[in-house]
Amino acid sequence: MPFLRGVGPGDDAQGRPDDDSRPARGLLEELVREVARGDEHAFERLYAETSERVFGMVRRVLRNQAQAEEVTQEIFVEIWRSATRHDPAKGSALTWILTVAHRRAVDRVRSEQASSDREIRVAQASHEVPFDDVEEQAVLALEHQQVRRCLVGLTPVQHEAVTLAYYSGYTYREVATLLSVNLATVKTRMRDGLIRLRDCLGVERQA
Amino acid sequence: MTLDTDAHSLAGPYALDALPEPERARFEQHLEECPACRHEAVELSATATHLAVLSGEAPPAHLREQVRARISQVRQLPPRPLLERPVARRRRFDRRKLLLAAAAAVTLVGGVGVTIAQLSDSMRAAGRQDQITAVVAAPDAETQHSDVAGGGRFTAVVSRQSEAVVVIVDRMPRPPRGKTYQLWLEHDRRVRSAGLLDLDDDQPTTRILRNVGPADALNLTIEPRGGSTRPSLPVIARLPFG
Repeated sequence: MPFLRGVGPGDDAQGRPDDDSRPARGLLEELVREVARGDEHAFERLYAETSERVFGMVRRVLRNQAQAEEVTQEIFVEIWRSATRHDPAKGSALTWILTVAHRRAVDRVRSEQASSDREIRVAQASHEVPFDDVEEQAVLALEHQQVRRCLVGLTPVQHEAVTLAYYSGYTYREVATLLSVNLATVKTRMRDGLIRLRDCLGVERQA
Repeated sequence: MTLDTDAHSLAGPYALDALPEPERARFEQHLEECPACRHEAVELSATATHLAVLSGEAPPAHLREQVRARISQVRQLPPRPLLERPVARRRRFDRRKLLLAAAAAVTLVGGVGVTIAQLSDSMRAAGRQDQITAVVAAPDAETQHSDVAGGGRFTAVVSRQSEAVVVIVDRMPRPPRGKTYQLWLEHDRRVRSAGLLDLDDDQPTTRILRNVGPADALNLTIEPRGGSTRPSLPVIARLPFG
């Protein structure tokens, strides 16, 4: 069901921030339903609406353009394959897509764990402040800004634990090593950090 | 430490995809058996996906062609068989039940500070009690809430059927001198004003937004007195509609 239809779409829109805020939720739900019925045009629209978010995140996790392209392709093929299995009761279409995407990206990182560049990655990352490069982005999306504001509300350890895991694809054990804290602490900080983020963002609550 | 006693703390690493195998598989098995853990894992995973907004970057154009070519060769999975689902019933509420339901919904999300009496008073003050309770008690009403930068709690109860949003703010400070709070509905990357928000003397303050039209989030900003035609940053609270 389209969300809150009934008035002409955006007819009295006044502000138009050049932003990257979340695509209209109802639209994505509809597109996923159409994709599940094999609609390739709907799939292209879905790609257009979400590929920037997916690719940007994957690129950031993998830090390699060619790998990011490859994994992004795998992700969208998986979205196509399993759109029939998406259960709207378990979360929005965007949440589903980004969850699939992040796991794929992280699985790629893990599959290279055996290779020697792992240590190099760790060494590089330990000098990296996860947020600095983001500061420079000129885009001021409403959601973008909200996420950043909410991240500021985390304690430093929560912030680092969450962002090192999400953006660098480290396991909690690796994060514990990087932050020189014990495993129990890092697990708790990740959970507490996400809870604080959830409350600040007003994330969709499960009924 | 057994997995059971550890399960809650694993929800964080799990949501961030920070559990290595075989811990991830074990935790997922545990989730099958623990509805509360599953509930939390779903919420925290949804939270984590918001972090992707900070790294947006358009993929190269040729990728779209590659993906298009690939999917034309890939067969989709068959859907899972439909489970029996209870048919949603429309219930009739009498006025008292409506009010109680509204109060309960708000108290649940508003936490301490919102009591039934306060809510009732604030609704009466607004003079729109029936409309508000009808929205809050609508079968499809969904509640979202968020902290406000600078203090307070911002809650919205959204009903698609009613095309209305009930806004409740609680424990929010007065706006700075010469300023006012303003609400903004967001849809499809655009925002439009949903009006100024003057606080009642006795908080919580409750307002109803009618004929909302297409919308996927509600934002709150501080604007110069009289309001603005476009929002001034920062956004002090944002509620994505579920």
